[in-house]
Amino acid sequence: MLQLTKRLQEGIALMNNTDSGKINGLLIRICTALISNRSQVFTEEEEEKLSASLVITQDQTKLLIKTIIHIIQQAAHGMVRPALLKEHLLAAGISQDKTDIFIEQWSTNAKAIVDMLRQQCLSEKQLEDVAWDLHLKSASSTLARQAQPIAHVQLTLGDGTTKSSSTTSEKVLMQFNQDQLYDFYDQLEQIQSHLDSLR
Amino acid sequence: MQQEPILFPGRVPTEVKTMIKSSKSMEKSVFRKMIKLALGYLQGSLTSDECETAVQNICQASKADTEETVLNVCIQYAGILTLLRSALRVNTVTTRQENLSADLSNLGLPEDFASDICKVVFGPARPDIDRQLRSTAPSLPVLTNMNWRVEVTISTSWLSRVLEPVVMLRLELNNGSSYTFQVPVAKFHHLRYAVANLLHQMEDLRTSSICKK
Repeated sequence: MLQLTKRLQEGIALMNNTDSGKINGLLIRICTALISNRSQVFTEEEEEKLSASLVITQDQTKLLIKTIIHIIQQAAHGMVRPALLKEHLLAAGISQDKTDIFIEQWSTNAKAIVDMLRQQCLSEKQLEDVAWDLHLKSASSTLARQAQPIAHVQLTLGDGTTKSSSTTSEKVLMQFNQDQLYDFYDQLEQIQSHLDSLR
Repeated sequence: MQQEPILFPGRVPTEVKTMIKSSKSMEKSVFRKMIKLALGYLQGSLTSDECETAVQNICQASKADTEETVLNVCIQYAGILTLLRSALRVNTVTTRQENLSADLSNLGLPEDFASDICKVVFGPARPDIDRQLRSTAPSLPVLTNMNWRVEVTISTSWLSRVLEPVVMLRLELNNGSSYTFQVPVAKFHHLRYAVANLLHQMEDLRTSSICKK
């Protein structure tokens, strides 16, 4: 499961030398960040404080964090069971007490992390939100005194990450009268029946 | 019996006044041709070339050969267009044909011309005309085409076994723009629910306001 590069081995050695309680704390924080898909787990300030409390350099702190993240990501990639994970970690040279900490956190958080990763998609444009408006058209310059319901549907398209806000997302605004909306709904139902047949 | 003017409650436009004045000496066939052309134009079913040829035909039919007479024909046509536009706006349910006919006579239009206009406004072609008029009314972009694809993601760089379906949609709107995007399954259900909800509310709205009408 783990490719033992030189860098990884350095990180593991660093981890073995660090206090177990602190590793536990780091692991919990990292798991939470992975579940909510945040790319940056600690801010610069927090990393500084961490360096100071662990009595290691900033670079070493970064390496430590990266090592832990890498181990969890590899476990998620293969959807490794806790028992098997224990074997892999011990084989990689991680000390017994640190391995136990990993197994405990992995058992608790694995499902949430894997579920989140399952929903990830590579596409830049994803449907993020659907908003709508219902109007009643009562008159226009072409036809006075009508009563036609008109719906406005706004689709928000973005890249699905928490970073995408109003700057990167695109809003598509369309209008539908009743017949057009029925057609749209028919097509959505068609798609749904295909999705159902997959299950 | 003087009633409230239906067509032009404010000022009567100049081109309509001019048209009515010359309608006394206009031939019936010319008037009918102009109405036909105006209808075609309002419905958006004629290209600009077809319109031009039709106007030239009308000029020949009314024996207009000098610049002044051609200009007169064009002003009359403009008058008919404005008149027809206002007449078609009139709601055929709440306004009676006799009232429209009386209004046209009050404006000074000869009787058989007035009955021609009423035939168009209250005639059997009205649902088609209405449909065309509604489609040219101001509106936001309308969905013209939707293509879709259902895919199953087998594996990714961050998870070796995913097996999760994903829907890809391509929407084409009538303003020429096209949007291609992915819809995760959860969001797809959200979209379906929103559209179903909207349809339900639309139906409620339609049945409630028709009673008021």
